[in-house]
Amino acid sequence: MAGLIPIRWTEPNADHRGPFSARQLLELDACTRCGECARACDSFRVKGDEGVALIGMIRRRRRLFQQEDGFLGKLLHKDGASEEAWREFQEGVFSCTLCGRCQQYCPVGIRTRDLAITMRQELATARCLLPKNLDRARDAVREEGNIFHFPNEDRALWAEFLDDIPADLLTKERADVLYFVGCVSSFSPAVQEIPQALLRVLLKAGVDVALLGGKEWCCGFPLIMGGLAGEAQRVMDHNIEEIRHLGVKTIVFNCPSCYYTWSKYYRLEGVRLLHATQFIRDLVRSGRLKLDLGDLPVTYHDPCDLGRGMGEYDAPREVLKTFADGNYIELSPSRERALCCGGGGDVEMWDPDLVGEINSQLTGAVAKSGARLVVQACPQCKRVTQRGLEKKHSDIRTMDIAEVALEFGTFGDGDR
Amino acid sequence: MAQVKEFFLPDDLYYDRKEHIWARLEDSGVRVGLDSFGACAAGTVAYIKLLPPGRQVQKGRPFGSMEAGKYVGPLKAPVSGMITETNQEVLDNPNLVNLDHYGGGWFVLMVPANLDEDLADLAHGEGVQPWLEDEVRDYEEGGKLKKEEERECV
Repeated sequence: MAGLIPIRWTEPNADHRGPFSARQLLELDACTRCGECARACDSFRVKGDEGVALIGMIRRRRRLFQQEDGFLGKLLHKDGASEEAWREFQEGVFSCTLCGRCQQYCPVGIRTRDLAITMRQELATARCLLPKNLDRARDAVREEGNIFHFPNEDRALWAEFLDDIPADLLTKERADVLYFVGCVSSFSPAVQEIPQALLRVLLKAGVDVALLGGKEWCCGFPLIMGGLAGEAQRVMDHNIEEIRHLGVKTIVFNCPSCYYTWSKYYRLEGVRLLHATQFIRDLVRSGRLKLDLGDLPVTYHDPCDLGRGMGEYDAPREVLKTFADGNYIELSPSRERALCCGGGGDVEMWDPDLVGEINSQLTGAVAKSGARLVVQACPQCKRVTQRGLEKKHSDIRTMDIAEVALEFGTFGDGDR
Repeated sequence: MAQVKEFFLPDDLYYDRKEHIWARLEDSGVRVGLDSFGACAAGTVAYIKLLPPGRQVQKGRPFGSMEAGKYVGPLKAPVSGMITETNQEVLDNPNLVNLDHYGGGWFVLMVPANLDEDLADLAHGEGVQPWLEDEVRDYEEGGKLKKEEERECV
């Protein structure tokens, strides 16, 4: 554990470039305005405003560069860009769910999601243009260690609903595995079945697992995505310190955003990070878990941070295809081009209606597939999709892969 | 009955001033719910989870959690005691919290452990009206919400 190296964020530059890297400045120039990103953008499809897709964000930012610093800008706009122009830019940038789907379509290879995050960072820090409620989420993380402003001492309330868990789960001083639950799974009653299921799966598999409970803080993901990366360092340092005490060898996540953040930003050495889909896949491979899905037509939706973010598409499919007996249906589109659930990019904090409308496209695709069960691997995807299906009075069921393992699984010793 | 605008708080109940949780003393125990102001401020309730009957809960500790349009958070017990009954109707139809605050929208029934002491700091009787007036004024003025010009930039 001595090798843990927390990263340090570079503060935004004081000069005119803002926090953009040299590559990103090139990307701003490299955009050919082909519009492929807009065609791939679920947010654009709903809002019809080019400014929510990367093509529009880049166009507006270029114009702001010109107005603030360009030769013509100096001649014609001596006072720089107007507040209104910055606001218009901000509205577009913060309506992006950061699902990264457009990145799969960009013919010149712009790292669209990173660029959009940097734009947010510039707006949130250099321009002080935070959208509604993001400042409250930031304050909640500062004060309570979670985005909901829920008393963090009650973070493990979801576990109190279970009668059959070991009493020392929250008080262990050493453990092989830490289950890092994340804010949405811990606090949203809409999806608390997910951590309850995964914990039971871990225990049934005989894992020496611990929970941090109130000592677990937000992983930092919502802050980074909101352009408040500097704020995230404190919570990351805290979480690293907590796992140092436990001496864990593996951390398991059910939330792909936590998994993504720990993988990309925490820079841990000597600690294995596993998403629940990978942990369950390993149980299946070792013969310790068998599922009986009967003849239920089942499909799977790729969460953006697990799929496009971490490149993990195969683990959940391996689990489901092994046992679906030919009843597995591939959602269209899927994998790298999977539809956005609408729940990403913190957008729900300021535009919940947009989230619902984006999700409607996903639930439409699920209905079209003929599946009766859509398996998900992200609490926020499930939370939003569940609500979307209820709104449509659909009887299609949505379950997290951990819930599937618990409900349809039989656990044995296998070949361990 | 205390009333300010559309918010009304019946006289026979006790109210947790911070959480807007009400407690009604009944022969079988203390029935617990969310008052009309709390329900309005939270927005449409979509999901509720309640600890099962048989669980002991301390005053001020969660007996469940709730997710609504503008709130995700704990439901905190106004008194200490054991949960003896949970409202299955409200679990099946959480919107009852918004539609029938003091009737079908209740959460749990508890057998209190330390009733007299626990009731002492709850609003009741004559103290309810001025407290509600303050709450509504704060809510309308956005006193609990930071105004845009007061926001701190990082």
